[in-house]
Amino acid sequence: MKQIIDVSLWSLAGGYLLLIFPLAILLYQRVRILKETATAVIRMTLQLLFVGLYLQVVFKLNNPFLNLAWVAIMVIVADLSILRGCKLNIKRFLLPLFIALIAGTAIPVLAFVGPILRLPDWFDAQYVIPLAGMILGNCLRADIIGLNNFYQSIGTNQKAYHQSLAYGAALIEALNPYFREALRASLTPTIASMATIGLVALPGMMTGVILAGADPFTAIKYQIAIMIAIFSGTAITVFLAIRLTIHSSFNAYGTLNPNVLNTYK
Amino acid sequence: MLRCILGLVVPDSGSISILGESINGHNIWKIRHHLAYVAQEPDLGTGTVREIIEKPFSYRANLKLRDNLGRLPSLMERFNLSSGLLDKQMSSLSGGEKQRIALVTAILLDRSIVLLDEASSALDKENKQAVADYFKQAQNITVLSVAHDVEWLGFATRVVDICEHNSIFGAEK
Repeated sequence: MKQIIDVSLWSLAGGYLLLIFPLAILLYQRVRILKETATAVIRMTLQLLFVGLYLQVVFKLNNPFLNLAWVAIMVIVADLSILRGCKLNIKRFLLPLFIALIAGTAIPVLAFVGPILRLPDWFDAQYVIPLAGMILGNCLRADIIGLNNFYQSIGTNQKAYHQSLAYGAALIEALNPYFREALRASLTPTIASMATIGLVALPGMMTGVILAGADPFTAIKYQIAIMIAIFSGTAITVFLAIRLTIHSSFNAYGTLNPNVLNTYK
Repeated sequence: MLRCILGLVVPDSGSISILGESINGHNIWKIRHHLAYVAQEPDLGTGTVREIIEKPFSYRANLKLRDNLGRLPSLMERFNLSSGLLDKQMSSLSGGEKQRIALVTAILLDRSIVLLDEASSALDKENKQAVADYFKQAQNITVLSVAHDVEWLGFATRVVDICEHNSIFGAEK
């Protein structure tokens, strides 16, 4: 198999010329998202340049502790972006969410680098960083959907929720219908993508492995393993994210603390 | 006020005692097992009427009451609800039907204290009478009803008038 061809910086700069098409369309149709587009392109470039440079160092040193530290930083950044992404006042959720993200990422990553790949060095940067990144990204998305769905549906269905408490439900019994719905909502996208994968689009990881010069069959084996890892990671993280935040979100009487839903009222 | 008794609203000051216990975040879970509550516009969740009536009986505290569901057909009849309603979606019911379904569920739970929040507001004369008759003949049940309906107040053994100035007038009948 051929090795991947590097992109020279000059050609990459030329690649930006492709932006002429979307910009021309936006201008022609007067879609007022030019500023957002420019900011997004600049941010993407700077963030990826920074990460690329940093990862070069991390990969060169390839120190297991440094690799894990990098994963921990990714988890903290994910944690903070969930707090921003959820329309919830959940500053006090920082620690529970951190635990939920660590568990949702670490368990599938360890399964991947251990029993599946049987890596001699489990925390090799080449494997652990991209795998953790992919799984964490999905955990982040799932947590945002799950937490939003859970707390907002209790907020909007407050009367029905209170009625279950009045009927003598224990806290977890009254919360269960909303918990189930939140799990369903957060896992459905992954289930849908597992069901259509390969038919509609070639998934990112598989494309990457093929571009890197590997055999397509190796690529699909990686893809299957990562899909299962993502699915189990998202289930673990959403379950924990909700379970671990319940305690601080409801008062002793079982009613939702109104300041959890800071966008409501 | 009824929502304070249920611990769904915590009063700013004062305390509420039920069955000799001053309610707090600890004992409210046990106290709720002695209470039934019918809201003014009951929101019992989504699903068929049968699922909604059966749901409270799946809670651990109510499991031993499951046999009470055997009384469902006769209670439905008593409150002029056709048995065909059971397979309908809750959302398709009228306000009065929802109110009577909530009343039936509350009665099946065999609680000693029943809290009714304007529970007659969507009922016609005949159904109001049916509900009042039921509670009148029921043994060992205390009904605490918040109401503006003069006709409904007529069924009460004691009426407490809560005025705007927070003063309370009680009248034993």
